Amino acid sequence: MAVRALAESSDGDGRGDFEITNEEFIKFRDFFYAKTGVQFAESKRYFVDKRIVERARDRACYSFRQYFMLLRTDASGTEMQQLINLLTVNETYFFRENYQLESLVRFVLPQIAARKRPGDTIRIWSLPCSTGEEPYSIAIAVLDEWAQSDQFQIEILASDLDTRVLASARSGVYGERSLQNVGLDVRKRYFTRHGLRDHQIIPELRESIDFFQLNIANKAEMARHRNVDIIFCRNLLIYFDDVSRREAVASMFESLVPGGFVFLGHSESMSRMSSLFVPRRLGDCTVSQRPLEGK
Amino acid sequence: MPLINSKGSKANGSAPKPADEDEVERSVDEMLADLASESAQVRRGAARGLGDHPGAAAVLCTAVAAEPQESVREAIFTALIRIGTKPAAAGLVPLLQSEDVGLRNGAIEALKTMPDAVADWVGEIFADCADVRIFGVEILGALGHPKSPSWLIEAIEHDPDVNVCAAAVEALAHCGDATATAPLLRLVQRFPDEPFLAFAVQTALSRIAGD
Repeated sequence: MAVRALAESSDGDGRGDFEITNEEFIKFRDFFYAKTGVQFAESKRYFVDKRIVERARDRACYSFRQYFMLLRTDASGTEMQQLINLLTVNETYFFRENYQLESLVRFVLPQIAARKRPGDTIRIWSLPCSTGEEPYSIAIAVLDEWAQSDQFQIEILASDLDTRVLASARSGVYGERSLQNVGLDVRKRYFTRHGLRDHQIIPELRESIDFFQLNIANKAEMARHRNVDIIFCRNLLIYFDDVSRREAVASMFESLVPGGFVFLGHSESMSRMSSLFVPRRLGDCTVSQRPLEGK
Repeated sequence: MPLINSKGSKANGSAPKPADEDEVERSVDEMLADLASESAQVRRGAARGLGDHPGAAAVLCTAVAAEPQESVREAIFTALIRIGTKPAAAGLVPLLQSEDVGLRNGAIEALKTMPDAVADWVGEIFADCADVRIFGVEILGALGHPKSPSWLIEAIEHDPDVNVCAAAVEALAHCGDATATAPLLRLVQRFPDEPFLAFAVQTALSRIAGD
């Protein structure tokens, strides 16, 4: 059986509309799994096929074979990253890639704290914050898992370009899908029931996070934010072209204090974008650090 | 709860605030002067600002060659990429001859993003020494210029250096098409005593065929 994945032809001659056979799907699924560790179930077949066909059309490929070759031979890895995000977009939820939050509380925050005095501010920036799951997860992880949190003032900034997701983040209302990794204990302490099915972040936590609109590509807007200790910038830069990516990374570099850290998405590599940062293996993930001496 | 919100505590906040002296827009002349500042931060800021001014390309190329700080170099290269004009490429091409690896690699990465500007310099690059020709091949492989495959085919047909040819084979594996097949096979005949080249050609042919 071949699942038909439609991508409407823009030129009306049928190009851009192709089928992915079972054999091709398995070939792709295995390749994708080897690259990312993500395995698609058969139930995701239509979704996956549709995204591949759409992406192939955008890259002017008019057969699976043609696109798959492009994907495999793209030395920069950009195409793979684009596809990863198309296939994982809107999959945000609390404690996503939790190993990064573990790295934050076990390794990164203690290193930041070692350079500060009790009572100082530690500033963490979720960029972009989307509908808020990330900054709230950071806040909960810091409060629950970092024993020194009471010794410092923790400021969590959360920004996004999209005002609609910011409004959603501020309201802090989430369905079961977003809460799939949230245990009962955390739900009891940080959420209240909202309607029949949803849950809402408690007011104290909602009000403690500073949500605001920001365009990372705007150098002047970025320049207003300085002395940040940690930036979470996951799965955003892959949408940018090379020069915009370099400029965004440069803006983050300037926003960070020397010795500050950047967390990128699991499929992203700072070394492919910039030589400004030093890779640090901290726990189960690699974190990018601005050199202390301002190299 | 030790969390604070900058909106409730303006003194500590970093959320949007009025422009301070760091954010005041600088004139082109001021930014050009800032490139010579003792502060790396000021030099980086100048470079980032000059990326919006194509007329600064030549000065930026001169500055990057003399710049000791890696972070400033990167800011200058990014500015030159944003400018992306023929004068920018003209200033970057000579850096391919630099003994400074960081400088050379920065120039290579920048030139890879300037297909139209680099096109004018292909002849010059391929008239240089073998090392520079290898860098040139690497640039062409990533350039995304419609003529890149034909320039690379030209290299494997005529370049006397086997290492340049090997680099071109690798580049063709990524951007070549069926028109490269015959020239690749002829290349193996041109260097019959280089088994690694035959292996590289086989790999390239497989990729081009989509296997």
